[in-house]
Order: sequence, then C-alpha cells, then structure tokens
Amino acid sequence: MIRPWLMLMLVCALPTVEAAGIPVAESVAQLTQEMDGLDREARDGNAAALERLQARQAIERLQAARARDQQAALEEAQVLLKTAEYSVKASQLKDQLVQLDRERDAIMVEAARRDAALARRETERLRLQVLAREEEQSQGIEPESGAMPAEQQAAAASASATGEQARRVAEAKAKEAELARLEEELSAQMNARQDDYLRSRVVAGKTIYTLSATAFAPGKPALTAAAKDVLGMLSKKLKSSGKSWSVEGHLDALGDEAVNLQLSRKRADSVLSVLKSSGVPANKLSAKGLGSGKPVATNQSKSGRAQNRRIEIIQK
Amino acid sequence: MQIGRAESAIESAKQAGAPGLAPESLLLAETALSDAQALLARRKSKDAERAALKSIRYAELSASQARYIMLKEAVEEKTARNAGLRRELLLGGERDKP
Repeated sequence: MIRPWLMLMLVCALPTVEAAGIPVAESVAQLTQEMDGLDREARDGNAAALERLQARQAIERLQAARARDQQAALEEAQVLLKTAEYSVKASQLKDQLVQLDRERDAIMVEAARRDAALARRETERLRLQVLAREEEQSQGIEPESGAMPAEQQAAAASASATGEQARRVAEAKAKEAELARLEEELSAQMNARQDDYLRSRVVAGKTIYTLSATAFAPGKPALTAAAKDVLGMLSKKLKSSGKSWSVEGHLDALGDEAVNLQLSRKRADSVLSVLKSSGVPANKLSAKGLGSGKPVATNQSKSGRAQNRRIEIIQK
Repeated sequence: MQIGRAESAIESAKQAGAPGLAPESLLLAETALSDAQALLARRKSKDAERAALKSIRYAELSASQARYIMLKEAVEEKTARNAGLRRELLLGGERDKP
C-alpha cells in the first residue's frame, strides 16, 4: 500500500513529458529547429525581430513549464512561431514591393527617355521644315504690285502654314521639356532616400523647411506615401509651434511657365492638404505656386534643376 | 486588463483584413475572448487572464497572416503590372503616363 504523500512525491518526480502526456522535449526540439530556420531566413537580422524574440521566449517557457501548463505553453509557442513566420515573410514581401517600385521607375525612365528622343526628333524635323519654308519665301519673287488676288491668297496661305508649323514646333519643344523634367524626376526618385525629402534651415530667425521634388510622383502633384509620413511627422512640429506657415511651390525653368506655375501650385496644395489633415489648423496655413520664378540654383544643370524643384514651408 | 488588450488586438486584426483573409485564427481569438469574459463573470480571474492572453496571441496571428496575404497579393499585382508595362514599352504600345 503506497501512502498518499509518497504517491504525490512520485508524481512530482516524474518527468514533465510523461506527466502531461505531451512529448515536450520532442516539441521543443522541433520548434527550436523551426525557429533557427526562421532566424536564418530573416537575413538582415532585423526582420520581425520582436516577433521572433517572442516566439523564442515562448519555446523557452515551454521547456520550463510545469506539467499542468505544458499544453497551454505548447499552444502559445506554436502560435507565436506561426506569427513570427508570417511577419518574416511579410517583411520580405515589403522589400520585394520596394524593388518592384524601383523596377517600375526604371521602366518609366526608359519610356520617358524614348519619348524625349522621339520629341527631340519631331522638334528637329519641324524646325527643318520651318527653315525650308522660310528659305523658300526669302528666295521667292516678291509679289508684284497689282498682283493677281489668287497669288496673294497663296502667299497668305503660305504664311498661315508657316505659323501653324511654328506653333507645332513650340508644342513639341514644350513636350520635350516636360519629358525631360519627368525623366530627371524619375531618376532622382530612384536614388532618393526618405531622409532626403525634408531639410530645414533658419533664416533671420524664421524656420524654413524644404521638401524636395522626390516627395512627389514624377511629373505630378501627388505626394508619395513615404513623403506623406514625413509630412505627418512635420505637422506635429508645425502644430506645436503655434505659428503660421506659407507653403510655396517652386519648379525648374524647363518648359512652359504657365504649366510650371500650375504644377507648383498643385504641389503646394497637396502639401497643405496633408498638413491640414494631420492636424495643423487651416487658418495657420496658406499655399502658392511660384513656378520657376525663385530659383536657388542654376537651371543649366541637372543637379541645379533638382534643387529648384522644391516646396518651401516658411514660417510667417 | 488583458481582456481590454484582447479586445483591441481583435479590433486591430479586423482592421488588418483578418475577417476575409485569416478567419480561422480570428475566430479562435474571438472564442478565447468570450471564454475570458465568461470566466471573469464567474470570478475566475486567473483563468480569465490566461484565456485573454490566448485571445491576444490568436488575434496577433490573424493580423499577421492577413498582412502577409495582402502583401503577397500586392507583390503579385505589381509584378504583373511591371511585366505588362515592360511588354507595352518594348512593343511600343499604349501605356499610362507615370
């Protein structure tokens, strides 16, 4: 006859595996193996670091768990490991998305280059046509006095055709400038880092934040998602300052100035809209587009033009 | 305390798209939360805490799974879009402006 206290001692002395009926050692070994594999998969070591740490700690808890807690500890370790697996994979997919965005940008740069080359050829062709027509006219016999109305009509028609061609040349040139800017903005964006978006300086005691054009979709007034995040953070500073701010859009001198004014205004409006929706009071904000009127660098070089394409958020 | 955390974890999972993308683990989280609430009503606070923690774990799993599936779909979509774009560019066909 075994006494109850002796029975209790025997039960306590049994390994936890048998007591719970769960092959804990086996489970721990298997989970640890999977965990090691996951750590290797998280190549840079930072992917889902918290989730992986939690899973590893849960495996350690399982190893040390008392018999009655083993089932729950095993379930928790399995769930946390699965969560870590999904998080690591999600992190890899995020990297893939960035790569795909870069790939798309590269394709668009190539497309813009081709379009620009086509536009250049078209401009040249039209320019030569205009030149040829002008030469024909200069070499032609001046209409005699009392010329036949039919000849006058032909001359007028010829002048009209020349005007039309000049208009088409101007259009092609504007298109070429637009494409050149698009190409430059795409290239700049491909090389941009998030911390390149925003810089600040103090002039005469007033803060000026400068947002680079890489914060926008190339050639468009829409802000990128990352730039919106940056502006969201900036809005807290602007709000807490209690000051009023003027959002000024600037562009380079490529292309038609009317288009530049319009795009710079739209970009300033986009920034204002994000700041407003992030909590900066509307009555503390104003926006305007200045086109290429206030350059900060030369418009003759790519890097100069990149500096000129910007948004300034100026303390009033 | 843990019950409140479980409720917000479930809410986060729902916002991450778990009802459509990871319904099984979300259901386990909700069931565990119901258990926790029932246990608390019976004044079994320790058991309630344990059930709530289980609910949190499953809610986090469902959110993580949902995010993974959404990203996977986004990668597939972008891959296909890039392939189409490259094809159109090489063939000189029509394409969207950037």
